[in-house]
Amino acid sequence: MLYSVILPTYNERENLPLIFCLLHQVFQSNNLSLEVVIVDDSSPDGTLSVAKSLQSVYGEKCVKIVSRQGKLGLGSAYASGLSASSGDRIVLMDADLSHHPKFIPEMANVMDKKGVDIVCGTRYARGGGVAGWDWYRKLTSRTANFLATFLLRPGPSDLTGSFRLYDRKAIETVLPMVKCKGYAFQMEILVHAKKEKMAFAEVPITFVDRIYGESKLGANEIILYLKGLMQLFLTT
Amino acid sequence: MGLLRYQLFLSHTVTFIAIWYTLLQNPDVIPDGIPDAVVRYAPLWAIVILGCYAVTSIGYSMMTFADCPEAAKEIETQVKEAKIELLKRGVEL
Repeated sequence: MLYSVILPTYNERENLPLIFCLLHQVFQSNNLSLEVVIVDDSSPDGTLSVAKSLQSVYGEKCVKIVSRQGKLGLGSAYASGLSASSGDRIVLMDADLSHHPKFIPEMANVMDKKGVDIVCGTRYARGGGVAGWDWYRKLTSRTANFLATFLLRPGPSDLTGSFRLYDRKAIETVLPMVKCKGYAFQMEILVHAKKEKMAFAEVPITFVDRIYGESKLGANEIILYLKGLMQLFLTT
Repeated sequence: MGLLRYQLFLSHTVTFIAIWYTLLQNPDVIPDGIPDAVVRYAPLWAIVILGCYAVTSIGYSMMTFADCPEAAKEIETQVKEAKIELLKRGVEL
């Protein structure tokens, strides 16, 4: 059972080797097979050269690199990473150390035990949480989630979370259907998965916001989210 | 191929309005205990109840939304260890 972790990167020169190291350690100590697919959108800070260095040290079986010409967006980065990957199970997560790889073995365990298509990391359930968010940021997150749950009801408790384990067939089926951008993207994956009658399970995770402001929550992001929400409300 | 989400909401709304209209037209059907104002402003009450539900739900979820400063400390420690490990293996940082 090979696990492919797809890491879209844009200016993650510092974080990429760190997240890779943590992934490597976690997978080794849990006896799981790891393949990391780095999808870099021509980062100007030299992320690609760090990726290549990782590849030369850890080997090409463990580190795959997809280098794209220009900043082409998260959805297509996932798609590129997916086609370059060979894992039976796919992990999608943030590459900036906000998600800790230590939760992946638990997700794998849950997928084994419950036979579900998608295991979602949730920040909201007991055992989960966030670090580095003020009251206002937490309120925005919860309100957005409430709105989406009320209007769409896909099932999982954390709809905009981006730390999930997918069965390969599940993500291959659903990913091409997703049209939204921004936070609504993660939500749309679950909405389509629900329509395809896929089964979900959850694992509480912690989200560490190491640099406040990196969460990109300007008015633009919010409007994009609401637009995506409306679009899904009207079309699914 | 079920209803789309907006269609579902629409059908609930239409049903509610149909029942409300019927009750307005046939006030004798309403049980004695229920005041006139409740029936007449039923849609307003529905919105108020919805609003209360939203506030309560979000309020409760805010109370149970955990802070995990230990996770932040943990990652900082592991970042330091990871840097040492990577340099040892010859990764160019």
